[in-house]
Amino acid sequence: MEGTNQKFTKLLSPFKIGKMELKNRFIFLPHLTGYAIDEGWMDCGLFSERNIQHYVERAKGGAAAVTVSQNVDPHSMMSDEYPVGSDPRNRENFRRLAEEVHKYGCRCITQLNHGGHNTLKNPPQILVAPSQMPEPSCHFNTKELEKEEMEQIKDYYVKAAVLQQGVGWDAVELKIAHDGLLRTFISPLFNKREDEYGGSFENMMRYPLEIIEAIRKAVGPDYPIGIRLCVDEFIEGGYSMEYGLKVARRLEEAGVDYLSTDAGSFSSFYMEIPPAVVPLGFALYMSAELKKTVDIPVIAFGRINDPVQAEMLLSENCADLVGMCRQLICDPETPNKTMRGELDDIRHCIACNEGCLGNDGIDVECVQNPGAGREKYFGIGTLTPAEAGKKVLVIGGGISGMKAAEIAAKRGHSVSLYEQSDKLGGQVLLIEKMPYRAEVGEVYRYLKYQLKRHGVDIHLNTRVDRQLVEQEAPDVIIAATGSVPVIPDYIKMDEAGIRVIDCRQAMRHLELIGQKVLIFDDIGYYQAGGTADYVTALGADTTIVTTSNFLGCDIEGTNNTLLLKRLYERGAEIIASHTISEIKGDKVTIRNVYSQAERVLGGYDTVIIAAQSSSDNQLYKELKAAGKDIRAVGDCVAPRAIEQVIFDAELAGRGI
Amino acid sequence: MNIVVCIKQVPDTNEVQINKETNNLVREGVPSIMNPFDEAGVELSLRLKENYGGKVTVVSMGPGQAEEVLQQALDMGADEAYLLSDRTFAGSDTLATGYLLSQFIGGLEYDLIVCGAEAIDGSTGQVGPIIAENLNIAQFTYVNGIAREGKKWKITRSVGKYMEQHETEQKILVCVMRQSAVPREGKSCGRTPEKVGAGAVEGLNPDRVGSAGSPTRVVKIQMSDSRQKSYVVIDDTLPARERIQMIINGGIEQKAQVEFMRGSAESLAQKILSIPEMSKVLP
Ligand SMILES: Cc1cc2nc3c(=O)[nH]c(=O)nc-3n(C[C@H](O)[C@H](O)[C@H](O)COP(=O)(O)O)c2cc1C
Repeated sequence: MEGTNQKFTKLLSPFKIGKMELKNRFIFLPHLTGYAIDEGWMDCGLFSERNIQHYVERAKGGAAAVTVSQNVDPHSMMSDEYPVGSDPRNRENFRRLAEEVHKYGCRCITQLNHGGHNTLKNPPQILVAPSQMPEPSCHFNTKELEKEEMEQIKDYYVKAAVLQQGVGWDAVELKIAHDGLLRTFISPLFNKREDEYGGSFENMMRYPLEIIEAIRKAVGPDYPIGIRLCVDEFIEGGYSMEYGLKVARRLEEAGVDYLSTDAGSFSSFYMEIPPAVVPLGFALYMSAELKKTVDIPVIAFGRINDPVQAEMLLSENCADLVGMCRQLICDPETPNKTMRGELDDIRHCIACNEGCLGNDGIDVECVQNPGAGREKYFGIGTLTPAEAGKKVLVIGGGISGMKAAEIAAKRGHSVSLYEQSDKLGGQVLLIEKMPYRAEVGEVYRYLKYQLKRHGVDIHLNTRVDRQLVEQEAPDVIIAATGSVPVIPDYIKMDEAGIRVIDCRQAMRHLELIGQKVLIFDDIGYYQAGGTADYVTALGADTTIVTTSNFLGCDIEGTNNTLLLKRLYERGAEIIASHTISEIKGDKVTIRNVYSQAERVLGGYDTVIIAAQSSSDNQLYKELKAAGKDIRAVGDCVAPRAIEQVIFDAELAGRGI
Repeated sequence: MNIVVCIKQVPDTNEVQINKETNNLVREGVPSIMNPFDEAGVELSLRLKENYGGKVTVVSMGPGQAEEVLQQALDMGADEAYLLSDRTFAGSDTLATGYLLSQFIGGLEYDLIVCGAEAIDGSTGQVGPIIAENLNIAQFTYVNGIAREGKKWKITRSVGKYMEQHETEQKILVCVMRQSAVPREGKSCGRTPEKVGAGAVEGLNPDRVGSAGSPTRVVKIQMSDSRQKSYVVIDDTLPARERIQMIINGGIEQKAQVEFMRGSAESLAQKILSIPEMSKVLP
């Protein structure tokens, strides 16, 4: 829909929070980056050059404001790569960040948090809370805060706010959200104190309100103070929206300048950073209720990844501002592309959580955007035209082939791409069939559009061989020929037995899946878990045997929690720490990987194997031996996940 | 075979805003278009004509400006177009409009009358049924497709999950859905719409048209809270686990769980045919 007639009258219109002017409604929501420097105890949490570039990139991309998540207390760190807002050593880089983002008419907002009972450290040195009690999902107990400690923490908050106001930041936001100390104070589940900070509603609100008051005193009446507010904790026994709205009203009375919607907790982390299972815009009802409850501006959040959606929520009066976190990690230029009306050019976040959250939030990356956290090398403006235009031939229309073709074409090379099947997209065409994984299809949707836009000559249903290469006579060849699944030879099989297929066959040919299915997992990623999701949704009676200690050990946590929930609810049986030794008749012999004890399971009509794939690099080797300039990308190099093959391909495209 | 299509010019509701103070639709500067349901009706009629022969006549009632949509229908390929336009028609509600249209169409030769299932500006869906009642002919609402077989009309209605098939040899009126056909682009043609005043409609009772013939009173228009939102709504009083599940399922208004079915084409067909409700629908 190029040149769409959608008008983004609200989304692109300016707005004001107090005296802070915002040029449009796009707000980059706070997120831990893992980019701060850690050189050991007391020399950690140092705001880095990489931090600066990450936020400047979003300012360049057209956001009205970036929110920078920070820790307040150096003695209580979420992680050692989390910038410490109160540390004077960060002053110069904080100043530079404000200066840089202001160049793009973008505002710079501090988000201050005290980790409290939450941490990413395992094990943490110490966790603190209003009362001694761990987060239900956490194994580490807490220390009940004493009043002097509370005073000290309050001072850190004030120190951080003042430090940043002093170097030109535009507003301060306190986190009473899915993690951290302040929410535990207002939560009747976590706050069991018997002094003036617990018991009644007013008592539970006291500590956050004291901090707000202290900051207000220090920063003056005109400096905006916002709250990131968890509206629903989504914990059994925790508070829900009715209570969240009551808190909102109290915060408004206390003179807070805006509310940024938030939900969930570490115990329901799939609601705080929702994977694709949770519907787009799932939390808008909360923002809409906040809007009805308070008169101060409200920021919406949660799976908002598209300007049309954003305009709609504004026109439905769900919020005044649109918060996007992962969408702007994935495509920092979303606001500018909206402005230019280039909607198809927007790369939508697929909420896979693999890059940003996959490694426990340490070092945020993005599956689709190799530039996230690597702005210096892959950010806006780093893709420069090639010195000499070359003729490039890409073999394979999977993700890595398409990505390499995109980058090469953008740099001015003349690119043709050959795909042996009738569709572009490679393995993603199978992935998107798995329940709740349809959005992964965006990966090839985006690339396909780029290929069209940049004039890549696409040939489907064409298998490349030596002869075709000689005919085309390209300067450079990219081999993106993928991989083939392998059924490991340690599994002994008798020929006439059960139908044994690999997971790709299962995803491709529904009719091969029987009624009683055993899935064997020797990878730990979606191959087994996702196929099991599909097979059980089809209604087959399913047993899953995994060599890992639990199924989906390499699937990102928010996704895997919900996946396991679905599988167990559908009655799947999961057997961990076992491998298959033999398949005979309708019987499968499995062996405990620790004790080597064997067990025989029976009555299956289908066995689906999810084991390693092997690179399909025959042609690559052949052409290389023939002296061609050929470079391999993707699974052809080594079978891996989307993030890794996109990175490969980006590099290859830039290297031509 | 003569087909009469009723069409209406409407404001493009994608562009309509509500004035916050007066709660009225702001129509100024809003582009006018042919009601998309009617546009589908014109397209369906043209396809019938192309397949089985005949003539397509389009009729509209409205101010002079409504000639635009009639011209559009002519450009798409309609043979004749009439605009019922008269000062005395002003202020007609659905009852009066239905009466007027039936009075005019009753004077034409017709085998089939096609209306849009509703208009996007008022969404009453009443005019088609009123015309059919006045002319005392059979009517089919929510029609997704229509074909001719010998002397028979074959009509497809979409009802919830199912498609209903009907057959008849009578004169009928159908109210068609917006998705039933994608309208073609028009090519400018030499034909123009003809204007018809009150005097030219035979046997017209002046008391039954215009505001005089319109009992409907619009008391107030306002943004409705219950109108379909683009976001989920959940019951906040449920336990956390159920609130989460409700969100994942798409909110209170979650659609009925769609059942997965699998198998070869033949076995799927068998399965579908064995659903009890299906056997009632299919021959
Ligand atoms: C890696 C990561 C770290 C996050 N860290 C924070 C944080 O420090 N403070 C905060 O308020 N929200 C944090 N969030 C939550 C986001 O601000 C946002 O609410 C969430 O990602 C859902 O919005 P989205 O769908 O636009 O991404 C984080 C999200 C991610 C992905």
